Amino acid sequence: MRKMRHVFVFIANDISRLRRKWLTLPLIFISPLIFIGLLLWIMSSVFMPDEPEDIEIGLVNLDDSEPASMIVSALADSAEVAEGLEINEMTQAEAEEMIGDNTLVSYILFPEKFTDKMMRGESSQLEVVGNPDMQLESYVISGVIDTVVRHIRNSQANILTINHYAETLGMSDEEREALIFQEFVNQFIQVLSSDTLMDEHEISQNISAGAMYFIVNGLFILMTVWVYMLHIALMRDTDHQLKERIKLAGGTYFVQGAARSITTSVIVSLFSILLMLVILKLSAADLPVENIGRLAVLMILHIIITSILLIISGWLIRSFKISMTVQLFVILLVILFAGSIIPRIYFPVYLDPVFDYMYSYQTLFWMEELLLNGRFIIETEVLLITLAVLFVVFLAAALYKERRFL
Amino acid sequence: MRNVLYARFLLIKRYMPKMIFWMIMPLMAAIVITLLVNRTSDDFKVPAALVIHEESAETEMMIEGFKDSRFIDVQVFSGIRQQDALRKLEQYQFDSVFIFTEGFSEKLKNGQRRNLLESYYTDRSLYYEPSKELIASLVQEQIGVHTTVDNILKLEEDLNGGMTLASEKIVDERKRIETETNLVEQIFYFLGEHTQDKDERILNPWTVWAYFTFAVTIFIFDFVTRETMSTASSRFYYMKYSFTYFMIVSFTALTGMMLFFDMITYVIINNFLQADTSLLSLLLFRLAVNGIAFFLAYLMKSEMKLYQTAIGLTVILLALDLVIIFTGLDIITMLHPVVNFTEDRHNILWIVILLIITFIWIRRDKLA
Repeated sequence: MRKMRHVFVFIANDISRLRRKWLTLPLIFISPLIFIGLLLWIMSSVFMPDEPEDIEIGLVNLDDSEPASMIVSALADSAEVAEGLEINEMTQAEAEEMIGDNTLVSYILFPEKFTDKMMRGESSQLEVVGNPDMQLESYVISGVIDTVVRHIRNSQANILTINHYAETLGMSDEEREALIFQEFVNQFIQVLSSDTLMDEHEISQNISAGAMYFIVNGLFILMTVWVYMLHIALMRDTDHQLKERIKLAGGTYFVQGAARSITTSVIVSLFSILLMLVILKLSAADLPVENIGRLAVLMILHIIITSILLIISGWLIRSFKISMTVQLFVILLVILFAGSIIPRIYFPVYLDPVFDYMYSYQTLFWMEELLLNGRFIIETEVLLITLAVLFVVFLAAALYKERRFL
Repeated sequence: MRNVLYARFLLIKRYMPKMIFWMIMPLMAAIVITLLVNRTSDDFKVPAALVIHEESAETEMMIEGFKDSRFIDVQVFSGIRQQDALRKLEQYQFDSVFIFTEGFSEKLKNGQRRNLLESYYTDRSLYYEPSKELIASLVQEQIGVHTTVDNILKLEEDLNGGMTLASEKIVDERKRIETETNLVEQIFYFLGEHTQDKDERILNPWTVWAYFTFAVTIFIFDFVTRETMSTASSRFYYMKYSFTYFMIVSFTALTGMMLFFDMITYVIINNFLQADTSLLSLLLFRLAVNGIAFFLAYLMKSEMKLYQTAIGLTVILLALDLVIIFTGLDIITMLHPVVNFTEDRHNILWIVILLIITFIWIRRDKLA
């Protein structure tokens, strides 16, 4: 049991180092919390917008002809293009002023001789000018405008076909132009009423689970980032003489690694479970005690595996600078392949098998099942196997570091 | 001066290979990551399902149109397996499900425009809107073709009183016209920037390069920490050259070397990755980052702390970049060196701050 005593020595050392610079602990734990909380809040307000304000779009018509005016006023009248949009006709000067005031998201410019060119079969260009301060909304708008323009292109082919046949059938020019004009307006209005094309339904497993999904994801990412930050904070450069003395006193790399892993895991687990309890209390989720226990087990397993992974990658790389960068990448990969930032189903087909073997995916999946879908079981096979395999690698790496030859 | 440079070279000689590696590393990382993202980003598809209750030419065209899309991975279900598709949707295995009921082609031909199909999506569907737009435009196209054909046939009947035209010929003619002309185009730009370079790229190689450069420069300047903290620095008090002078010469020499590598980087990224940036912006960014790294290294008490700070600051900058994308706060934008660089906004603020700090430092040294 001498080894156990060594482990305790190193744990005590780590804790006393932390206590000496106790201010770094809040820094490490609270700053990611704030950042991730901020990001979650921003992203959830993007994906679940409850904006009572409509996005305003302007229409500027530089073409004097009658068809253009009709189209522009037809567009301005139709509020049906998409929900939450308000479309108004205005002059270019007004539009630019409103963009400067940030009251306008973007405006569509119909250039001069727009309809003329269209009728004669020449190319013309619709300009969409966005507000540089409202880039996110402009991005939403450009999707809608893309749709409108695509529909216009479709309807041109129709109109030109009619034009072509009307010509071959020997219609008089005036009648033909009137016909074209009528068709043009018809097509345009048809385009705008595409909202009723589909009978839409939204289904979800749990109606109130929308925000909770983001919170569970955030908790997962936070947990993983905490392991990384605490690990980096506890890293230290022991000089050669100290290393010699440790070796002489019987402190092996295995013991040091185990101590570091235990310290990191215990502290991060405490904070994570605390945070989880706070979140459960605040969201008034009614989770039975055994499920809280299961959640804790999941989180602790995940934290232990992550910290062992970090320690192994730290041992295999001799330079501190490279190992810090590599460990950052390891953490990013762990988070990415948990399906946290991009859900699993959106990944390419050839990357899909990775998820079956990835321990972080299992953690996130079962956390979601427990918290969002009300499951009462969890399957920890992949996690336990990964833990066992990593422990063996940990032992092997410790023996490798310990070697006295070469 | 020559002696100072020689002394600097002697001190650095041991670390030279590693420094050269770190100076090239951002370029390598930028190339690798950009190539990786470009190769795999096309494979990230949205899984969607189509349920076809009755097969017809129109539904075949729908399936073809969906399969042609490069961002949707479509799975087709026959009508009896509708519940399977919906159940998979509930389990969040699909992003959205579109159902073409019986009589779809009939409704289409009769010109009905309401509730032609059903669509199901979930609260976690990220790509429902674009998928819906795609289907809507496909359906619109079909409707358009049918109404056009009907109109032309009616026109012919009104004018010539005969039915000599066949609808297939009309459809073919229409297709010919559609492919030969492309009448309306649309361009998008932000007010104030009349340069129409809409970045089709997901990832700007210069952004990757800039973040790596920020972290790596602080790594390279660890010699400043080492020498400031070493006991040998007290010898400078008895020498002709002050420690400050020595450090400034080192800083200039290293910055020159890094600028040389930056030129190579500029040429490579410009030519092979097709991403452009202004040379002035690059120069100012390099000066700003070197200045920040130098003073950070000067203030830190140990190398480990410097490395930890480097990683910490880089992560903070990344997080701030995300905040800027979503909210666009001006204060953060002015202070963020990487954003200033990638948006060609010139890091003037940081250069000013660093010049002030440099003057304070030199004055303190002269007064001491």
